[in-house]
Amino acid sequence: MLLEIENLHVEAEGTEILKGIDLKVDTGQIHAIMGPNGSGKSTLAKVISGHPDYEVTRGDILFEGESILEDEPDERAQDGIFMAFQYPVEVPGVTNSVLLRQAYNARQEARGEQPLDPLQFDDFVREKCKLVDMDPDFLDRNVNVGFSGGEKKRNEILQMAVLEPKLGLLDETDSGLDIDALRTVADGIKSLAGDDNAYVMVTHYQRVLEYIEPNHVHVMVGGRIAKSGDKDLAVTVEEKGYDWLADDIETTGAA
Amino acid sequence: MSAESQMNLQDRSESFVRALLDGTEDLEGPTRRHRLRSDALERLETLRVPGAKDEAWRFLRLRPMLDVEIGSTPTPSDDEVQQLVDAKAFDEADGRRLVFVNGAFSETFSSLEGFGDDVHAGRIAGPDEADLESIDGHLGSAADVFDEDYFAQINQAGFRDGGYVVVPPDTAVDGPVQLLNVVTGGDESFAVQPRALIVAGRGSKVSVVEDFVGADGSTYINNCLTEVCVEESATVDHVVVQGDSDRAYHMNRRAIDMDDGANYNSRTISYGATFSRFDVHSRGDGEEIDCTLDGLAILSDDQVSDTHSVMDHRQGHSGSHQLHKMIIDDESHAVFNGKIFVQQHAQKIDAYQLNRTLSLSRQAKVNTKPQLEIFADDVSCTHGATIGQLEPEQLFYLQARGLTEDQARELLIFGFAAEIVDTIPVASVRDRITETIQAQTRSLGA
Ligand SMILES: Nc1ncnc2c1ncn2[C@@H]1O[C@H](COP(=O)(O)OP(=O)(O)O)[C@@H](O)[C@H]1O
Ligand SMILES: [Mg+2]
Repeated sequence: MLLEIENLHVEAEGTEILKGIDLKVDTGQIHAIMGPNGSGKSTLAKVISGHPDYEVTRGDILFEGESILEDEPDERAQDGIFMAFQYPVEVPGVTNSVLLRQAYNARQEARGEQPLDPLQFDDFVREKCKLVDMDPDFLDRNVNVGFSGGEKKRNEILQMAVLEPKLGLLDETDSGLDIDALRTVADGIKSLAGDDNAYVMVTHYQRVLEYIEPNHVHVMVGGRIAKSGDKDLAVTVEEKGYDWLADDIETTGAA
Repeated sequence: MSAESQMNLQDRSESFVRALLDGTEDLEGPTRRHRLRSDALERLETLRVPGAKDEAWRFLRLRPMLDVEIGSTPTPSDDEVQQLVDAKAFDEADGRRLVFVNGAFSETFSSLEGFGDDVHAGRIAGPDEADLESIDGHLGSAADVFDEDYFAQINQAGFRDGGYVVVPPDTAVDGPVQLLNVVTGGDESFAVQPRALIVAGRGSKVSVVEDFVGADGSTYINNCLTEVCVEESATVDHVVVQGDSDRAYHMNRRAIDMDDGANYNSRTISYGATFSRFDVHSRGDGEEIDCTLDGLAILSDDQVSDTHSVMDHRQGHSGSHQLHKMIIDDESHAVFNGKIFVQQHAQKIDAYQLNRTLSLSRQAKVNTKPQLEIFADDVSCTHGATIGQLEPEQLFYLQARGLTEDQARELLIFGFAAEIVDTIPVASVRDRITETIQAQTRSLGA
């Protein structure tokens, strides 16, 4: 099993946000997590990535069979975990190419492989740009500074394409994309998906799931996974909303 | 402060002045330097060393500098100098490099053959001093804004030599000019007083890199003064790099005179010296001038660096830009005071000033005061100051991409500096400073 989350409880600033999450993701799978605003989807992705704001109070996260709770975010990244941020961070003064090369070479080094020099890397990254239909001029721009919403999302996928993670967590990567950009991004993800990796897509809309078919769909409500199913669940949610699931939770919660 | 310690301070300052002027008493005859010297000595009669009560100096303690025992200036070996020159000399300025070693012009290390016939460049106090007509009317002219400045007057009275570059009208100098001030010495402390004059004639263009470099461990006072005259529609690019010895005291005065349509573009990078003070005064006495006074100071340990600048807009339809950044670590102390004056008849002025500090330590101190004094009504001026730490969200973002916390910090600190460094117009100087600053930031914030 690539990722196993067991009874995960998470707090931030003294408030419990995740209230017992169980989730298993294996290689070759694509999972979708849906749910209303504030249900804890981003928190889940950030906790898996090791964000320092969150405290795990109970439960565990296993990656390839080992707990990663004590690992720094960079160690998790080296293990092969990648989160595409819902709100990609602007980093003034640092160009895309510098960050990409440093990140790529850090990973190469961690795996005991040869780093690429700037020229070799430039060839490599230009190929990756094509994958997400990104103008190579963006490589010389400061990371996410002055990028449009869609450009930021595409930039996240470019980073993912360069780092080729085992587990890709895509937090609302589809929102704010017009239909052309959505197709490009979806094609990019599909070309990366394979038998030895897995993707978890957090999304509001079923729209993206028409392009990338998930094996499993989970719906989060109030810090819990209220329901899991196959891709038809996404369609149901799109039609009926989340209220019927909230009731579900309350009944189970009271039981 | 008690009357007694005040007296001591004045006593100290008198012996300080004597020491800095030592050996220049023999200046003879009606040379320019002689005139500057006698005027300056006269002013020094009434000037006092600035103290805690002087608004412009209140954050600095000058006492440690005044207490430096100033001995005779050493003559270093060529090997020693070679090392420092090699580290700073850049290819683009080969043939246009003036090198001063401990304040004295170095025939060995300078190369002037690249200036061509029309550009006047060389040393101010050479054997042909009396015949240097090209600097007549320029040497000492912009510096009059420092008539009341104690340290400027000590330089005027006691500088032994200096470099000048005078570009005739409608001439573009082929490539950048380097003014390289190398200071190195033995166990005794000493003082140097570099001087520079840059004149860009009407419609001309020149790029100057002024480097100060010292051998770490040497204790000295570097009391330098630079004048820049940018005449009608001329353009001057000016990069100043302060990389003095870790035990040096760097006192830097710079006066810029700008005529109609003049462009002055400067970046000041400061990372050396235990103590540095910059006073930059730009006098915009023409319409349609454009002045940039950007800066970057990087401080660690107990370094102190203070920048006081004045942008004086005396005529209209002009613009100025000043982004001054400071990175402070450990117990260092950074001071910024930037004044923008817009005089009564100077309408349509577009002035921008921002001071940004990145603080990497709770013990580090910063005092900042951007100041506008506007006497005209049709102007657009913005100014401000920010002080911040590294952003946790940015750190997490980089770590989530696989950079260690140290690598992430380094990249962010460097990114903060890069906004200034990346605008240095000479590629190899930009690369050199990038490397220097990367080496500096590697040890910062740890
Ligand atoms: N760092 C934090 N500190 C305090 N509260 C937080 C923090 N992050 C998220 N929350 C709260 O946790 C809840 C879930 O947020 P989030 O995971 O962003 O939801 P979603 O991504 O599903 O919209 C919200 O109520 C939010 O305000
Ligand atoms: Mg979210």
